[in-house]
Amino acid sequence: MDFHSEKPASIELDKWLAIKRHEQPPPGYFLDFSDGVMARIQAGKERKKVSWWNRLWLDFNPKPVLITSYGLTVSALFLFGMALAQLNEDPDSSTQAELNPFESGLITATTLPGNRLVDSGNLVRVDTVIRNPNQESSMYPVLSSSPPAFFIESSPRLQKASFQVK
Amino acid sequence: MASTPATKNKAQANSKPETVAPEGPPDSELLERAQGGELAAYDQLVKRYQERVYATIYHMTANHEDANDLAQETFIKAYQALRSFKGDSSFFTWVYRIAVNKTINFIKQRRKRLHMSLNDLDFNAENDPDLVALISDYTPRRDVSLNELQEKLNAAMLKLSEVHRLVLTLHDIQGMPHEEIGRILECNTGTVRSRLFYARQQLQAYLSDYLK
Repeated sequence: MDFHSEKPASIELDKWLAIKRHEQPPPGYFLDFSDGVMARIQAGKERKKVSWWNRLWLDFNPKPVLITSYGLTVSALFLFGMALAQLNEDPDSSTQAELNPFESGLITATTLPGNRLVDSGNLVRVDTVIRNPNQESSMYPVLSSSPPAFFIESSPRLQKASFQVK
Repeated sequence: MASTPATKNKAQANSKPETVAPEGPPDSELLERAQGGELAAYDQLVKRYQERVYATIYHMTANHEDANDLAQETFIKAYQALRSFKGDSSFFTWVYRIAVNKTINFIKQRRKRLHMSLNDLDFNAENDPDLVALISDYTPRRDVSLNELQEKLNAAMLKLSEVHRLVLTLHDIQGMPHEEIGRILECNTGTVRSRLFYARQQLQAYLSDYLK
């Protein structure tokens, strides 16, 4: 490409760019521009004078949905915490927690269809209860005559236990 | 690949070069009063440079609403940082630097979501001999309108990188000298010239369907 053929394109580009020089914002735009800037600066200054508590209130005040959702969330968390505390304080549940071999990792249970949890008072094992043979149970010394309620009652089809109950 | 003397002079005439003394008190005096807390003095500074700052941002974003927001934020940020202004550059250069950095950051964040909201052409556009010649003689389809050319040009400019678009805006559209552009971008004039050359080449390539 020689310089002579390239030169006209450059000149035409300058003419194109003349379009940009004619682009103008809406009439009267600049009459209010600085007022908008000053108003925002002033608002920023006023905001700094307000205490953090009042600032928070000003933020939330025009947003009732936001403040309601915050309130509901806090209430829900509070109730959940209370329920959790209640569960932990329940003596039955604490005994079960103490006796619960599942927590100690000794026993893993799965539920077969047809089985259900009962508090029969009888120690019943089904083939779904698997004992880890490598670990000694720490629960026996504290076992009462009443077994925990989580044992699954056997279905009519009982199978021979694959472990020994001491 | 510099612009021709005729168009360069026109560009500089349409812009307001820094060498022309502004009306009213000098910047230094207004600055001192503004740093002392006088909001009215800062208001005068804003009024003095609002058009040029807005224009730069608008040509970079091709969106009037974004340019409005960014221009306001530029002056607000400048006010907040007024106490830290040491005076090692002119207030004009310093504000421009803030505007440029804000705009480039904005463009980078919204890279894939930029959309045009173009300002109208003023009533002088149709009487501009350059534009008349452009429409009547140098376009393949002679029924093309100025608005269509305006859209094509802005779309092509948006394809340039931010830095190249900026030097093109400051020099070819706003008529700023290379030295001043170098001060704003904190680079030497050689870099400004090479970026400008590359920007013009790229723009010519993008507009090649319409250029002779």
